[in-house]
Amino acid sequence: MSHATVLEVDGLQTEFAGQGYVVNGVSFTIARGESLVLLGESGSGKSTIALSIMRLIAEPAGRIRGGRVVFEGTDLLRIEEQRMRRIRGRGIAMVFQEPQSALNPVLTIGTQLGECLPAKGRRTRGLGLLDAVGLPDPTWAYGAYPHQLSGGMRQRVVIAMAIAAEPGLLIADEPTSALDVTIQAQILELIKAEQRRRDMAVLFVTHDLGVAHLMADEVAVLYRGTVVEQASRALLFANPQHPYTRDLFAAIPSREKRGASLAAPDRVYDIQETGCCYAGRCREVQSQCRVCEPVLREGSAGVRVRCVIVDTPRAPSPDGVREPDTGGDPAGGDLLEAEGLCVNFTAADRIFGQKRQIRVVNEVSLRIGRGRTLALVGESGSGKTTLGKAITRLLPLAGGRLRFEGEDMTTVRGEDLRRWRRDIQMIFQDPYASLDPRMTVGEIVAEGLRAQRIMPAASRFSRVQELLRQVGIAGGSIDRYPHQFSGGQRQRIAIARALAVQPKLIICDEPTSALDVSVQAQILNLLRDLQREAGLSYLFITHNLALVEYLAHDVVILYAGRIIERGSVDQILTNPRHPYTVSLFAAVPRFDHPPLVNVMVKGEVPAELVMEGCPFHPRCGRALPHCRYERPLLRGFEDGHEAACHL
Amino acid sequence: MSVPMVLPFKLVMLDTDFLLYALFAVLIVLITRVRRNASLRQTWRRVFERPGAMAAVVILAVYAAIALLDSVHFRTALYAPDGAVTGYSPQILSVLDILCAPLRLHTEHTYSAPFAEHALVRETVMRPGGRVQRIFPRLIWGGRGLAGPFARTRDILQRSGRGLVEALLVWLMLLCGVWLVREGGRDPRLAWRRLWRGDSKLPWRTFWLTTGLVLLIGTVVANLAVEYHVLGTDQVGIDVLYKSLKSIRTGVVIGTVATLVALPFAIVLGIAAGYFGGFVDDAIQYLYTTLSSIPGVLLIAAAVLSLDLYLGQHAREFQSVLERADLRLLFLCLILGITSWTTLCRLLRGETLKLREAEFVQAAVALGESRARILRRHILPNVMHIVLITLVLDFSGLVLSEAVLTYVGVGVDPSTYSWGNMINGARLELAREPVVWWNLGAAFIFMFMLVLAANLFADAVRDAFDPRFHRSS
Ligand code: SF4
Ligand code: SF4
Repeated sequence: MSHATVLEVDGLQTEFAGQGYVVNGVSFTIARGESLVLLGESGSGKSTIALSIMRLIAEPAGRIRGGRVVFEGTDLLRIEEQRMRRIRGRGIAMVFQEPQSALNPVLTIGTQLGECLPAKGRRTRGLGLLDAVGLPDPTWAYGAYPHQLSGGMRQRVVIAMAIAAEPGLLIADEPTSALDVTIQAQILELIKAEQRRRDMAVLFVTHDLGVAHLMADEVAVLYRGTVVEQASRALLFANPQHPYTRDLFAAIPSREKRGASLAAPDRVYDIQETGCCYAGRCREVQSQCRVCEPVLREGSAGVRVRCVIVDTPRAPSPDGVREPDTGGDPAGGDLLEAEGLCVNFTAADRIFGQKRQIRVVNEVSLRIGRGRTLALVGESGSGKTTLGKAITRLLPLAGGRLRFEGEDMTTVRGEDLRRWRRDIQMIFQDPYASLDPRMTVGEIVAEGLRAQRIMPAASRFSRVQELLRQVGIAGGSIDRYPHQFSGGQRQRIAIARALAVQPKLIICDEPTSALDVSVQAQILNLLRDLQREAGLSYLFITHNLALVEYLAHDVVILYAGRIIERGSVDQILTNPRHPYTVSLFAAVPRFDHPPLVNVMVKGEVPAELVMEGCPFHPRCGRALPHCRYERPLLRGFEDGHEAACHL
Repeated sequence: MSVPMVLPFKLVMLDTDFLLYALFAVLIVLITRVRRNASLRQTWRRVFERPGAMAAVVILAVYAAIALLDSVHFRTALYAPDGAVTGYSPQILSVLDILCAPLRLHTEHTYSAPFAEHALVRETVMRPGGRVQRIFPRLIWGGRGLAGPFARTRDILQRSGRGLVEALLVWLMLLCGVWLVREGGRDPRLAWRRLWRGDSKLPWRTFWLTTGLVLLIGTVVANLAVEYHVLGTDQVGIDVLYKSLKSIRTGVVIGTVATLVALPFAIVLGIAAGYFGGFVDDAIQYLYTTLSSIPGVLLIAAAVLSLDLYLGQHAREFQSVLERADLRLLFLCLILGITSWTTLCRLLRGETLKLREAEFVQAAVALGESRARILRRHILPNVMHIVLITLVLDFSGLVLSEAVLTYVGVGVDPSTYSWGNMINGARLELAREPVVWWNLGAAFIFMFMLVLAANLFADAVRDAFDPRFHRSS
């Protein structure tokens, strides 16, 4: 390589008490101006590598056991803490996932930024940096406190602090995972721009293939603490070699895989004692794999793969069987009809306790057909979860009508409401919060059976067993507690709980956003099978457009509590009308095909609701003069395709 | 003619006795339930994995045992010359009183220092020759059996030695017993080595060391106390060790019963305020804000003083001083409970507010669960850790507040043995020459041990039960 090596990690090993080696012999180098992406799912050790380089592993639970971390000629594992402290921030800077915790809430942005700068000309330089990272009003932000900034702006500040001392290496640990896609696109662009400008080396940690594709020069794929494949971006994405990488690609939902099940491991094995770490899940496992551990071998064109079979041409990963799309038939009739739904939140004034009503969902109308999936797409703050809860009558409606199978459900109460609850169930986003930690799995799944008095207590046990089997949980788990299960398993249990009452409609509130890609694939397959078998309808709330492409029949796009576009999935994907929809699609980092149009949406969702005109006008790149005061109404284009825009 | 069977005693149940028994019964029920529930057992294991908590539990158990022994009250029978029972003594005694009979009965005339043979205060005596002399008189009981003036040190050493041997014997017997039962007597050397090295999940080494230490102190003091006033005597000649031991029950009653009084208020109101919100919430918040802005001491003083008035007017209705004092103790617990539920209530309200929005509660609502069941099955079990943590944390605070309140004069009855009363008396004793420090010192040590043990235990409980401390598990 022509450039100077900035960081060389060689055989790094980090151990955590009770978990064994979380990082087990990882080696890579990063040259000046280059970026290396560490790609891996949870438990792959990717963040631990980042922390090990910074020597920020929390001892005594964790300990670096071996290897070298050579930064600009110094082995960081051999120097004393005092010297290390000088290297942190000045030599190597780090950006974390959660910008909130990286900033001190009681100090102003200026004070915190100033700590990274020399005393002379501190303010001017600070303002310059804030301007460079794209804060709209640097002077205001300089004197502001962290809580006054939005998540995206805070991450910009953190980046400003990181680059303040002109570090040679920037480590970014999932810096955009907590942000919306449109904001993510801006932040990623910012990091790339700063890298180019300062000729920094960047170590980027992510689980997202799209982000990896956008950010990487070189990608190292991690599995269980070892690098299983390392290659340049182009090669890795064109021709993944290692079985794990290939499975990862196959597990990503996309438009092409519609109607087919996703490749997903049946089970996740525990750590293998000997042999290849992937042998438990590998499709191409051979007898020798279980005996001796394969080494990272040089394949063709600089691709390095840790697998016994390299460079043998292979068939593409087996795609699941493609079944006819049953829900595609719109003639099934409507299961649920919502008309002009409004939901208010009551915000109490802090000082005088005056109650103020804030409308978070505004005049939303939608229909969900029998056996169909309606995707509800929106970023945080769009009111999509609120809408989901309002449809299940978990939140009070401030207006509008709700009809289920033709019957008005807007005002049912008491016993009728309880009976109706059987038909409509909800699966929540966070499988760690949606199961009562003090109840056993059996009690959790049986809860609906009991509440709805579906069957006598005596026969419940066998029904619970059956439900658990249906979602792929071993029947012996019935007496265990949720904390003994992984995230994916918990989500299955939550699905079993919903299925117990045999609902007709399930509201899925981002059920896979907290899960790894391969686990997500399992859950999506399960939901898909259930739909085919039982004719279930889904309202699928998500911000992940790949999911929409894969499973939705109809799409509704929500912005600031209003529907701004709706239509069938084909209409929306091939011919988005609303500028927001267009920019949303453009913001998603993709590796399979380039974005349709390259527009980046400016700014962020304003903190105060836009009361007049088009809610999107402050950020819209194509705003017309009258967009400011005239609210656009939903207007039809082709058959059933509607958008709320003056264009 | 058949003589009716007469027991040589008649049981007397004081109100606080009853409450202590009830508490103890509840504790046993809870322990058996915890043992059956795998996840709770796991959490409690984490408490006991701490050596500090293990030692604290041993100490707490000793205190609890003494308090319980002191809560079995009875009157002894009075006999006619022919042996028939004619009635029962007006004096109410407890099992502890019987066990500590020498301590209770060996009263002197006035102050004497620990291990003294002579009184602390000079007395004027008339010598046979009509000579008036001021001397330090010999004590009635302290050092009575000593042969000569220089025999004391030897005697103390001898008795301590005997205590040491006894302690060692009992300790080894216990150890062997446990070893026989748990391991069937296998591999004595291995078992010993494991114990010695602390090679076990739970800190059994700490357990046995603490037990040994407690035994040692117990036997040595028991051996010495027959002959000496180990902690001296007070103004009216009562053994200070006896007073300190009797005070344990008062401390334990205050610490437990007061929290128990507070619990129902705090749980019901806190959860109701958090879950129902709206008007209910406003009303409850109003109530506890008002209550907690009145200084607790004022409220307690007012209540106790009016109780005093009542007791004074109805003095006849009580058969004994002890029963009267007991009512006052109970009342103090009640009023302490009523003034202390607000903190827990506020905590529970906040937690319930959070839980109400928790997804598992929302899921239960979506399944059509009734409110009552959601409160019972989802909310209550998920706030119990807060209740437990507050309970153990408050215990030591209440024990200390007894001392403070009694010192101020609105605490327990002056006739009740309590650390607060001992400290109260020390006000004048410290101004004497020579200083009488042992009353204060004894109260301090006994209270300190209890509060320290309670705090160590509380810390371990908090760390084990507070979800913030073990997110990863
Ligand atoms: S070494 Fe064997 S088990 Fe491991 S990835 Fe390669 S083929 Fe699969
Ligand atoms: S109505 Fe105007 S501001 Fe709103 S999206 Fe359309 S062009 Fe943009």
